[in-house]
Amino acid sequence: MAFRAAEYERYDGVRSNRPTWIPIARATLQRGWSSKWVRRLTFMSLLMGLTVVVILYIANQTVPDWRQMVEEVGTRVNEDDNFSIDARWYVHLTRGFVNPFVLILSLMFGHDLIASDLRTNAMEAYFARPITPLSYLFGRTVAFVGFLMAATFGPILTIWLGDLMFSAEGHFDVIKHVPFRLFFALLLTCTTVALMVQAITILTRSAIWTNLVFLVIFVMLQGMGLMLWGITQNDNMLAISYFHDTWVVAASMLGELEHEHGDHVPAGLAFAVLIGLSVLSFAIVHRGLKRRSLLS
Amino acid sequence: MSGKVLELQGLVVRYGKFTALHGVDAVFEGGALGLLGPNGAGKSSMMRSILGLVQPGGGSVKVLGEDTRKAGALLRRRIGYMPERDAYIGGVSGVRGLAQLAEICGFPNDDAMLRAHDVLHFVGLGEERYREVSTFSVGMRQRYKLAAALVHDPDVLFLDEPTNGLDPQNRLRMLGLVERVSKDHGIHLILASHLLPDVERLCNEVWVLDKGHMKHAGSLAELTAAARGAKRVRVELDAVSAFELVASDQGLSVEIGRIHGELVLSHPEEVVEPHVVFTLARNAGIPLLGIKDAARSLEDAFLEALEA
Repeated sequence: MAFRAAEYERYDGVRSNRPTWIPIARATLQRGWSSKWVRRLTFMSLLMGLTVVVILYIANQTVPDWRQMVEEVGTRVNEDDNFSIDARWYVHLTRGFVNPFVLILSLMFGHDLIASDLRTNAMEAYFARPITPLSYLFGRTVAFVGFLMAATFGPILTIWLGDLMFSAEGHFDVIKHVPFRLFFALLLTCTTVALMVQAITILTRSAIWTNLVFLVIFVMLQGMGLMLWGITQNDNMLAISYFHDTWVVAASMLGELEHEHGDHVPAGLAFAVLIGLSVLSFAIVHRGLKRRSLLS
Repeated sequence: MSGKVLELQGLVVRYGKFTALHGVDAVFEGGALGLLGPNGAGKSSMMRSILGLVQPGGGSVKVLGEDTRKAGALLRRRIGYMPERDAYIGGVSGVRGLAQLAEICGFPNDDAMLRAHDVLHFVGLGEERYREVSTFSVGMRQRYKLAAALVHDPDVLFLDEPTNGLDPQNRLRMLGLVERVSKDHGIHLILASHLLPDVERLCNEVWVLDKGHMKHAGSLAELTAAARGAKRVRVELDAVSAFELVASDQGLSVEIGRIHGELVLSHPEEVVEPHVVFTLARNAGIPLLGIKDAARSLEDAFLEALEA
C-alpha cells in the first residue's frame, strides 16, 4: 500500500465502518493532550485527589480514631446532630473540584474546540467527508467531557478509593453509592458546560468572545444569583448560578440535599436548568452545523 | 470509465432570495470535466451542492449512480474535494491532520497515517510533513489541499481553482500531479477553474455556466470546434482579398484572422482538407505562407458560449 514519493497508488486495504465521531473524538483528545496547560491542570487535579488520599492514610496511621474526633468537632461547630464523614463529604468535594477545574479547562481548551476549525476553515474539510453534524458535535463533546470528567470525577474517585481503603468495615455501606451516582451528576454538569461552550462559539464565532461570554455566564451570574436572592429572598433565584445548580444536583444525586441547612434551589429546578441549558446548547450547535452557515 | 459519474437533474441552489443555480440539467459520463464560467456563475455552488456542503433548493444530484440525498455520507468516502479556500486542521502537523481526515473516511489508524505520509510525498511535501500547515507557503498549501483530497483515495476528485495563486512553475507542477492521478489511475476529475489553459490541458469535457444557467455541456473538442476541420491559412498581405474571393467562390466560409495575412477557412458540413487549400492557392497563383488546423481557442469558444 505504501507508495513513497514517486507515484500515486490506489488504496487496496479494507475500510472500516466505525462511527465517524470516533476519529473526531480521538483528534480532539490529541489536541487537548498536546496542550501543556491542559495536561498540567488534569494532573494537578488528580494530584490533589492523591494528596487527600495520602492525608487520609497518614491520619489513619497516626490517629486511628480521627473520624470520630472530626465528627464530634463537626457536630459542635455546625450545631448538627448528624455530622458524619459520609456521602455528604463528597458533595463538598465536588464543589471543590468542579468550580475551579471546569472553569479553567473551559477557558483554556473548550473555547477553541470549534473556533479553531472556524479559523482554519476545517469545517469544509470535515463536511466534505462522510461525517454528519451530529457525529462532529458528538465527537467533540465526548472528548471535552472526557477531560472535564478526568479533572473532576477522577480525583473524587481516587479519594473514594482511599477513603474505602483506610476506613472501618462498615464504612463501605455508607459510601458505596457515591461513585455511580456522582458519575451521573458530574456527567450532566460537564456535558452542560461542553455543549454550552460550543454553543457560545457558534454564536460568537470567536475564541476570545467565547471566553468572555463564558466568564460572564459563569462568574457574573454566580454573583447575580446571590444578589437577586438577597433582594427577593426567593431561593429559586439561585438557579441562575451554574455552580449552585451543580452542587444541588450532586447533593440530590447522593441523597444529601435534605441534610443541607443552607439556602438552595429545589433539586428539580437545578436539574431542569442544567438539562434545559444542555438541550438549548445542543440545538444551537446542531442547527449551526446543519445549516452549514459556518462554512465560508 | 463507463457509466454516469455525475448526473444533475433540475439542480437549484439558493442562498436566501438569491438563486445561484437555476434548475441545471447535465450528465458527465467520466474522464475529466472542466467547469467554466465567470465569477458568480455558480461553479462553486454546484460543487458544494454536489458534496452536500450546501443544501440544494431543488432537483437531484447523482454521483456514481447514487443519489446524494440518500447515500450522501457514504458517497463522500468516494469523493475527494479540494476547496478554493484554505481548509486544514489547525494545531497539528500536516501529516497528522491528513491522517485524521483519512480516519474519518474509514481508514484504520495505521493505514491512515501511512497513507498521509505517502500522499504528502507524492505531492512533494514529504520534507515538510511535520510542519503545521499554517506555516506553509501558498504553493505548499495548494499541494497540501490536493493531498487532503487524495488521502482517502477517492474515485471522483473535485478541484476548485487548484492553481489559484501559484507561480508558473508551481502551476505546471500542480497540473502534472492532477494529470497523473486522473489519467494514470482512472480517478474522474471535475475541475472548476478560471484558467482556461488548465481546463484545456486536463479536461475532455466542458460545462460552461453563466449566472446559474448551463450554457454549454459537451466535449472540449466540440466546444473549440477543432473537429470541424477549419484551416488557418497565411498568405501575403496584398493577396488576402484575392484569396478570400477564390475561397468564397468554392463555397467556403472565410474569416479574417487575428494576424496580418491570415484567413480562416471553414465549411459548415465538411472538413477543409489541406489539398483543397493547395488547389485554391495554385489556381489563384497565390503563394501560401502557412497552413494549420484552425481550432478555436477555448477562450474564444468560452466567450461565444457565454454570449449565446
